[in-house]
Amino acid sequence: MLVALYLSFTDTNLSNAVGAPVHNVGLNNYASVLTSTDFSSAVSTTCWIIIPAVVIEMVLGVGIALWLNRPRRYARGMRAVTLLPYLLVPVVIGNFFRMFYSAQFGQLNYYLSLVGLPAHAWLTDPATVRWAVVALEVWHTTPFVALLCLAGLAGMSPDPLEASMVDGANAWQRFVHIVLPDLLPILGAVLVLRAMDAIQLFDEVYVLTGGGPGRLTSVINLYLYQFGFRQFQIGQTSAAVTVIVVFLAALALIAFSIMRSRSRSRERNSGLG
Amino acid sequence: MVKGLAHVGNFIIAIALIVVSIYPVAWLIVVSLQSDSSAYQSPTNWIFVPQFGTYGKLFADPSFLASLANSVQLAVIATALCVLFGAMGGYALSRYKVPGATGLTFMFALSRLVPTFAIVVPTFYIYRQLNLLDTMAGLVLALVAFQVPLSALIMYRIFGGIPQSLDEAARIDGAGFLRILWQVILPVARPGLAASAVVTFVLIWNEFLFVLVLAGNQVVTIPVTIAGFQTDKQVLWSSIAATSVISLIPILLLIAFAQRHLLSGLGMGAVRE
Repeated sequence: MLVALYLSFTDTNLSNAVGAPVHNVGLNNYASVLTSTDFSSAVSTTCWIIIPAVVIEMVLGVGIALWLNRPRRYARGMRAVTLLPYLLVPVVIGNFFRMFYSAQFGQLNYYLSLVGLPAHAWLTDPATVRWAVVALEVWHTTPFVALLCLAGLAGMSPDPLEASMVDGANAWQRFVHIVLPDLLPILGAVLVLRAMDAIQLFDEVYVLTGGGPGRLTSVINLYLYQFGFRQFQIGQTSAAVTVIVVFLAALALIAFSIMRSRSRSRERNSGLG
Repeated sequence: MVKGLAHVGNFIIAIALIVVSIYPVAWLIVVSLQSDSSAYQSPTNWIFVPQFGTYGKLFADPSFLASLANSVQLAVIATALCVLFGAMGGYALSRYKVPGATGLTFMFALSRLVPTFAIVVPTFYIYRQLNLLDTMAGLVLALVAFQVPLSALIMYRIFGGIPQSLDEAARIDGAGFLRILWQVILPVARPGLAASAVVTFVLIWNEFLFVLVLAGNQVVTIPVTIAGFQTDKQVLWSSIAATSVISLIPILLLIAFAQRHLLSGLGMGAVRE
């Protein structure tokens, strides 16, 4: 990473030969990255894709975890099945979805036609392509959220739940007042993890759309790849990477300090109670 | 009556989860066992006479065999090294007062949140000068360096759960550091080793970006092969599907036979207590 920092101040270009003279260009790389529309569009695209994706997968993940948590005869098998999407090779997932969404041959359009809906070119229509990526990401990573929530649920004491059932609380009340508060610290950690992971989105999009149409699905990593290893602007790419690392580190610090102050205030409250 | 409805509801949820999770894998298997044009059939022929021609062609193709061999070699060697270094690092952190140990474990937890490009870009630059680009050794080195923190973190958690008195008893009997680790602690920590090995294997097996950037010409792995299919003018879907299915075999085997280790490894690698 220090090398990246060094490179970010130079005009290094990969199409030059090894050992070609390198110039110190000061903050020029940062200036050109921060003012470039490609960079800002990559950042906004990434936000546009990961915010809905993370929100949806958190909701679905908690739901699936709650459902899986109840003792069942086939619980182990169900757990294995639900885990499957998270472990598949991301490139394979991207490829599958490319075919699944395909306008002419896609299975999605076929199933839609069964219920009377018209076919749609999901990946070439600017209005739907980002949602297609969101759906892929949700499908891929919801199991991870569910798995971690499940671990949290398994560690919870059953006593308050039983007491509330005796008191006649319904399922929704039990969830909101007892399960959710206990699950919050884990949900916080999962949220941070998922947000950070989602920023790394690359493999699936590389295969699914290649960033297109236009730059609509060119997420940060895809932009960095094309910029650094297609246009060989390693100096400027390093500057962009540095900007992103600084931004993420700040985000992580804020998230961790919020979580820490939360748990501290909770300790204080429980001390008083 | 209400109970009957709940049963039906549960059944529907179970079926929905299974279908959604398994559909892509099932589709890929079905298409890989039909002729090249079958992927373009909509609806898909779910009932058919399997043809193994695509697999036969693949296994006669030297470039496919090379990428398969590379994938296996990379995943096995890198996983073994990760688990070895991870175990040694995790053991040292859990047993000795290493200066800055808490900071180090925190860094380990953070390391998976660093954008891949922050590592890939400088690594590419360094490798170019060291002539390590497009070599198996370079890939193994990069992936081990990238994944060791996770293995160390998992092992650190495992070793933390093993009582120190075990070490002390062995030390009194005259065993040295490595001997204690190999003969006393590791046998007890075997489930943890398995968890860390399984998770690391999956991550390395699925790795795409590293291989794409740091190698990808001479040294190719299965995910890169799969992504490369789409640049061909004529997309041979049954070949893509067959390659995908082969790439999924180790993952499916692990889910079937090492689910417990997978779950615990993913859980330990992700959530800080």
